Amino acid sequence: MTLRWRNGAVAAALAALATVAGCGGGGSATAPPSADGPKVVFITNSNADWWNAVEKGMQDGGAEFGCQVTMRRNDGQTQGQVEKLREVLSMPDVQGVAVSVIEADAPGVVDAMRELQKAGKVVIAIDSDVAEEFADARAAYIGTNNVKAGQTAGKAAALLRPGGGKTAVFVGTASAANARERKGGFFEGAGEAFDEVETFEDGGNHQRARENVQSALSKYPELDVLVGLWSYNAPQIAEEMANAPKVRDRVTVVTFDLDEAARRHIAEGNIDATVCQNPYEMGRLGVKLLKGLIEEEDAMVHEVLLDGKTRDTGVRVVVPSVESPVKEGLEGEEVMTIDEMNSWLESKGLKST
Amino acid sequence: MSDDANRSPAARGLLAILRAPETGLAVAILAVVALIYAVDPGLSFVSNPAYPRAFFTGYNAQTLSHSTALYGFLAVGVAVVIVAGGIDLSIGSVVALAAVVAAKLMLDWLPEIATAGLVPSALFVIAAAGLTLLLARLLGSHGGAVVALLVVALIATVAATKLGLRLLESIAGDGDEALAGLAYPAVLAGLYLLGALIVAASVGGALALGRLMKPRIAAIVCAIVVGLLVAAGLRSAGLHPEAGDRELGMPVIAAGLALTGLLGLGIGAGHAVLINRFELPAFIATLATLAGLRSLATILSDNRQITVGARAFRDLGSDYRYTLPLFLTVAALLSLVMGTTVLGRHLYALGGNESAARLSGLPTRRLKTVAYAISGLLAALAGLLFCGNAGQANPRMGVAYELFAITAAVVGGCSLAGGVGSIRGTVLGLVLIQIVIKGTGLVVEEIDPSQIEGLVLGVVVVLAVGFNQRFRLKH
Repeated sequence: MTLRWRNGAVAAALAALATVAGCGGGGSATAPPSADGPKVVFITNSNADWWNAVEKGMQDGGAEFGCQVTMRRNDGQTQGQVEKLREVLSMPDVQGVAVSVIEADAPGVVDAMRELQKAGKVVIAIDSDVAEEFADARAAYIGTNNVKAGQTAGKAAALLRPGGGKTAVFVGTASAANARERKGGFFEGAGEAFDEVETFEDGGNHQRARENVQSALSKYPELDVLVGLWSYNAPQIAEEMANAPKVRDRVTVVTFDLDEAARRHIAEGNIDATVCQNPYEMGRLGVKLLKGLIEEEDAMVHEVLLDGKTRDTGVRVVVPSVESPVKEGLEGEEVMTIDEMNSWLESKGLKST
Repeated sequence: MSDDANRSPAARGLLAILRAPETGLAVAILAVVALIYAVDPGLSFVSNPAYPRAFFTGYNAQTLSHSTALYGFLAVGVAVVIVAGGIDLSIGSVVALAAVVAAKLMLDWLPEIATAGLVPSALFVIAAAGLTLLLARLLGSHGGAVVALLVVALIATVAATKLGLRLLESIAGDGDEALAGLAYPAVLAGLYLLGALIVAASVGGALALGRLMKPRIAAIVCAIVVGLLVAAGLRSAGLHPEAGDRELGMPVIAAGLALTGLLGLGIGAGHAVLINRFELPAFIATLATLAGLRSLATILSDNRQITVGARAFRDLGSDYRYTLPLFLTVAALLSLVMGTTVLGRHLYALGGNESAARLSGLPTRRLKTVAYAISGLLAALAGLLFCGNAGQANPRMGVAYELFAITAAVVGGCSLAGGVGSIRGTVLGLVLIQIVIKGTGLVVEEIDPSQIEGLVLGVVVVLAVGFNQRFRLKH
């Protein structure tokens, strides 16, 4: 009797596991790549929400230009990216690789990129480039000019708070190329009235990112401006703003990109302005460029790169509403309200950008 | 004859208190707080008591208690395992897996199963109930009772907190200012008392109900409750399969939480199976799952973040007014279990000398199952809270949290050799570590706090454990 009872329970438990496992496969499958054309692989730096938009652009580009595309998400570590690049080296059918270089001057990553080139594969950098002295490790770079993006964020902050103030900066790794460039650009664009009090690093740990915001608010009671340099910093700052409405009333929050979780916060006014890159276009143009380089179609390559070796996909600034001073004041930039951005996201089938 | 025997009873009592690790920790906490008070303005702290101190603000107290509560779930869970002579290295990965599984369950799997038809739904409900029965069997009557009481106490805490907050809102009206002064703390104290009464009454009720039932009947009742919860969740998910992450129904959230709790218990019980049946050392068994479970979380989430926006779910982990009472409930209940029950004494005996415990007739295998299941359950619950706090489930979350939890337990007086330590001490150890980390971040000016905090933490661990070894364990 006891034995039977136990067997029944084991069978039921196994059935539960099987059901859950079965669901897992169905729920997490990505859209199948298109069946023909050269095979290309995108290697990310982390698994942030942001890459979903690149992936969508990449898939649409694959269908538009005729490429088989896959994305491999890295774990945020340099070693992980080196291993992913080496894995591609052992795939003879892959002809092109787009990589978001995790650290601009990491010799391991640069070496692996050069090995891929030696093996006859086309390598481009996307989103985050190698340092200038290693420019030979990639054929071209598609992404955001982060200094310019930083300047745009700085100008937006200056419009939101003309008097300037004490500024805390939040980022995963302050030494990363895009972090350095965005931060430098921010203070150039914002002007001398903005003083940096501290840069808080979280090493990519979201829980830590949240705790950093809390520490900043405790440590600097007179803080005026909070700047989130990486996409996940935005919802973490905004979350804390939502919890502390009195603080929210007196500080300015400027961030980069638009995580799915941050969309609601902009609509609710917990973020004053966010400078969004165009990951969808990076993905789409990345595929087009790889296809052009692999098949040596100069016209196609020229369409993407114009004349140089790099292509800036530009930024758009998103604000809560038309009343924001940034909407009219920021000249030469595309400024959208969150409602307009939401419509655009829906038209592309995206949840974040 | 030892020196102690020559002393008067009063002196012996005083010595016992002084030798208790909790006393040392309390002194250390006070010393660190005093240091933070003095270091921030520098030497002028005597002459300038009004200096604005970042550490001593209401806001900092909130954030400090919030993070202490979140990590506290992990620390008290691993403390039970360490006292029982084991180790659980899988905690960080369980956090990630639980967060991913809960998010997937609520957003994808439950709606998918519900829309797939009646047969898959019924099979799923039966499977969940069956898993509950299996776990009840593995845990035995005492272990099952402790887990059931923990769950009842947590549910009662959430209910009491919800009720308290609603009452407070209706009393406070437009804002806290209306109740500033003496009335507000009095109202708060009254609400906390009310909350504690509700929790105590629920636990007492469950205990009384449990006494009336035979263990097997109790297990079947638990399985039926879980089955009903999952069925209600499936029904709710099936009604609005495209509800989106912000409009999840309460039954879906409840089913997600219940199934994730079962997952945590299952992982813990699985560790015990690896250790008991396959005779793997605990270090190896949990090292294997440390790697394996994170990988599983990555596969299930397709290595993506999953955004969970449902407010009712998120509040549990992102609002300190929920996390702190939840943690205090768990800590109080486990402290009672470890300190005053037969099960608790058996766990100490197991950790102190496993062979002696076995030869004395203690069910050592089952005791291990209970210890690891509690640790697994609490790690899974912490995963849910961390997920609520971030609003996202991410397979990369919780990296190295096991080391943080073990550090808190060890600083709190737990011996990695087993048989020594307490939940009280672990909580104090955790508070000390949190204060040191937070305080360093707020006080240090020239050096980046994230760079120096590891060094400060290392020094605190060495001092605390060194102090324990020198003055306590030899007695």
